[in-house]
Amino acid sequence: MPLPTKPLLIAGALSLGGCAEATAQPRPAPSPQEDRALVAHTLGRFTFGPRPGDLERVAAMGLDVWLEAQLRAKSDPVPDPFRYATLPPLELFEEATGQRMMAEEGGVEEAVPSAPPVRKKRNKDIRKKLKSLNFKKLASAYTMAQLARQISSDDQVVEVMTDFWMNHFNVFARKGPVKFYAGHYVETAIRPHVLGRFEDLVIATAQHPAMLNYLDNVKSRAPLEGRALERRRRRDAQRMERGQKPVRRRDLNENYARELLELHTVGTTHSQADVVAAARVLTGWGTADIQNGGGFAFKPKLHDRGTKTVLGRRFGPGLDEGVDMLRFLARHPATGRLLGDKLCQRFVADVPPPSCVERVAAAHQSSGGDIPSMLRAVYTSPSFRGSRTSKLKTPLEFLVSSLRALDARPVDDRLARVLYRLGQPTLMMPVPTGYPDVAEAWTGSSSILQRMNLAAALGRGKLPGVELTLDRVLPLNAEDLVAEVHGRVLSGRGGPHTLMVLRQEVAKAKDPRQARSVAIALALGSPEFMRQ
Amino acid sequence: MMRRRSFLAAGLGTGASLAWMGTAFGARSDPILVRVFLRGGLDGLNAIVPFADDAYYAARPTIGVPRPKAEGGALSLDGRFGLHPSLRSLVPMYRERSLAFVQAVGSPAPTRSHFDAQDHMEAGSLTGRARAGWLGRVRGQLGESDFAAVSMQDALPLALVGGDAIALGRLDKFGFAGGESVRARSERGFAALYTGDDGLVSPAGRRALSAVARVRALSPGSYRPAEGVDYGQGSAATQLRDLAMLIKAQVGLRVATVDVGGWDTHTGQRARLDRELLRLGTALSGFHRDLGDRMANVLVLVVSEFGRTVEENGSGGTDHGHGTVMMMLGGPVRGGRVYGRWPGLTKPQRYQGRDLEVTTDFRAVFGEALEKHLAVSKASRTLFGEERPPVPLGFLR
Repeated sequence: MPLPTKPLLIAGALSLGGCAEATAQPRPAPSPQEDRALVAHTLGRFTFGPRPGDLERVAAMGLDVWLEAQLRAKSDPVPDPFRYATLPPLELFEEATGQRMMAEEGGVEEAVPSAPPVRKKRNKDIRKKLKSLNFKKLASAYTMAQLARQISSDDQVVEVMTDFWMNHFNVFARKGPVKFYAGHYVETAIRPHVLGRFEDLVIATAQHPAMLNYLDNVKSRAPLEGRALERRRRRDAQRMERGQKPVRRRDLNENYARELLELHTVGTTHSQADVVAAARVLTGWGTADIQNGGGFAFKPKLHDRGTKTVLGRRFGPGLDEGVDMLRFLARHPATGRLLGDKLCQRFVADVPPPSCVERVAAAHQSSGGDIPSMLRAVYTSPSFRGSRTSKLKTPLEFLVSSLRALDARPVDDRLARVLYRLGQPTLMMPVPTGYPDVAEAWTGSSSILQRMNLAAALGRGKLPGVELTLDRVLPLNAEDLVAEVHGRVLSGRGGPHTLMVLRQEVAKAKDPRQARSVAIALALGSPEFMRQ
Repeated sequence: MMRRRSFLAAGLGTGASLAWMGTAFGARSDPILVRVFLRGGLDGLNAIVPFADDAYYAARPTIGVPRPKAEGGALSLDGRFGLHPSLRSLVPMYRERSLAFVQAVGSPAPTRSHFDAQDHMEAGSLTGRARAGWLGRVRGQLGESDFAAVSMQDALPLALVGGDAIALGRLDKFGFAGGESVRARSERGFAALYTGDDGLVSPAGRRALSAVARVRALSPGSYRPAEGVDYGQGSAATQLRDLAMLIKAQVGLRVATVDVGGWDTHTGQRARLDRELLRLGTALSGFHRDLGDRMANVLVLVVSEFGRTVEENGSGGTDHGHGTVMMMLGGPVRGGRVYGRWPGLTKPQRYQGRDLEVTTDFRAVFGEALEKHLAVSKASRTLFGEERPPVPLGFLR
């Protein structure tokens, strides 16, 4: 179905300077102060935080213009040093080690697929070789593949949405084969679609080996029924009598289908019967042998050929029917509400305001799941504008916004360890819900302590993995250090108490270097900076 | 047995600020539960050896632990089972009845994935989608102290998620980085910053700083255990020694988690278990002796996500299995026994023909610990939901 073009207006075109749905009157022209505050607020939510000069630049351009340009952008390519971590497993191995994967006889280039026993052995050999890779190093590399762009890219909405969708379609990199696919997953299943259509994300993630392994769909096959089931039971009983173990046969695995419905698309609007039906639709969705690249492969032998009913819609057998089901789910109204909940939680408040959720859901329906349309709905909602500093930054947001505020440049993968210590290592959340986006998850003593330590380290001008030149942002001979820090680091959002403490502590410093160090540490550790 | 006064003196090093110690969050009678997780799948069959079962030796021609009295043989506990010789430091505790074991314990769920199985055991649930842990879920009933629930690692394990908990890591490193004066400056500056009231960050900041100050007041770097106590080497030793110090300091601690890796012995099992079990045993017995009569209200549960294959593999090791062993240590334990029904090791007796069966659901042990030791209400509910809970083992007094 082609993407409708009209909804751009219905969802609230920005150039008309108002939200078509909420009010007929034009917005009163904001005062220059308010304008700047709104810019700071918007950049605080729709980017990973302003870099020096961003506020002025965007204020001059106009927020609406800026956002529209951002919504049209595409992901930057991955920076070279970390590129290998985003390749598929065989190439990844070769890039990481400089060795060709198949030096033995036969090789990967065989035109005719091997008979099963040889193929199994080769797969085992390849897996063994892959396992010999240093996982920590690999994890650091694909962490940096995201971090480097989150810090440096001008296309910040792309980066914020990449993080959002990585969480929404969470995979756990430590689980088995997922570790070799994690970087590739973000690069090929997530990034190309972050500002595209939601259904493309659902399909791309559903067909990626990272997700298929994480939620066990590779183990799923059509359940035995009727006479075939009886035959199997008899055979197993005979084997047990002979003291042999029963033949292990895979069965229907509902894991992925369940999370697809409950977490990725329609939320709680489904029944257990729907889960089973969806799982049956997705039987056969697996991966190719790793020696053949290990990518998505549909396996008819494992596929359930019956008719299935999911949320009232019938689906027949075959791969295409499965893709249809994913589109159906992606476009379902309940999905619009679920996405509204999550987007409004991310961009507005921990408890998403119902009016915001409704707007996003409406945009989802009228635009066929166009992500920029949904984001515009958030941006133009009154609750967005009224939600200043209501959110707490996640550890990732805290780290990246600190580095951006100080114009730090990512250099090497030691920075990945900093993110790990802050408590949010990339793709290391075992639970399918991903990392939480509510304040109470991140205000534990250990969490806050790590943030203070980071702020102190940045104040001293030293952090592993980044190039940090404080003179660039806050020269030592600044006239009024506190005012400079307030403007540049805090985007002018420091409250009276924080400013008072800054002045007080700066006055105690024994020299300008220490003064600057204290000012930066306290600014970054302040409640205003930790909030968003 | 040391007298109470000398306990405190021995435990506090510089004797700084005893004042706040007295404002006890909980008197000495409050129970403490320590969960020690051996990650990787402890080979229960070589730790608590079923030497009376011939099938054991048939299945493990090279890596089997010899029968008692043979060289390097198991140390008999009750005529059916014996301790791996590296665990000899546990013998006194077993004899004085403060140590017990469960054989063939584990999760009924049919998974051999570290990730899934650890998940189940940390969540205390078999559904695999838990977002909270078995200890985190009951945190609300454990009192107000900031130190009621602690992790001795740098991060919070799933077991503690769901309630307020603090990840301490090594106590002598907990707090601000940098040298003496840098740290002091950082603390003072942030303390001033968080006197405000933004309702979110400042309260959290104040609590964090308070925790740092309290840990520092314990002088963790100069802690000396009780006379003659040696914790030995390794991660378990470090964590248990720090934990003992915290317990003695009476900071209101109620549950603590300790994590030890290295148990996934697919290859070279003999040498690895020799070493790891020695370290574990030494650390546990050191902890027991260091705490002395405080062990009266401390319960230590040593758990692992699953056991290993009955038969050895071709690399001198074993692969992921099913049933394993749990250890229960402390004053409240009815020790000197090996609990659980022994299912046997012949092929038909094994789980799926290859592993030790599970005859005691791990949740039964957790449930009894929560209900009888921590006096948590509705413990069964949090672990079993609507299922009928099994009969408790009765391993607690």
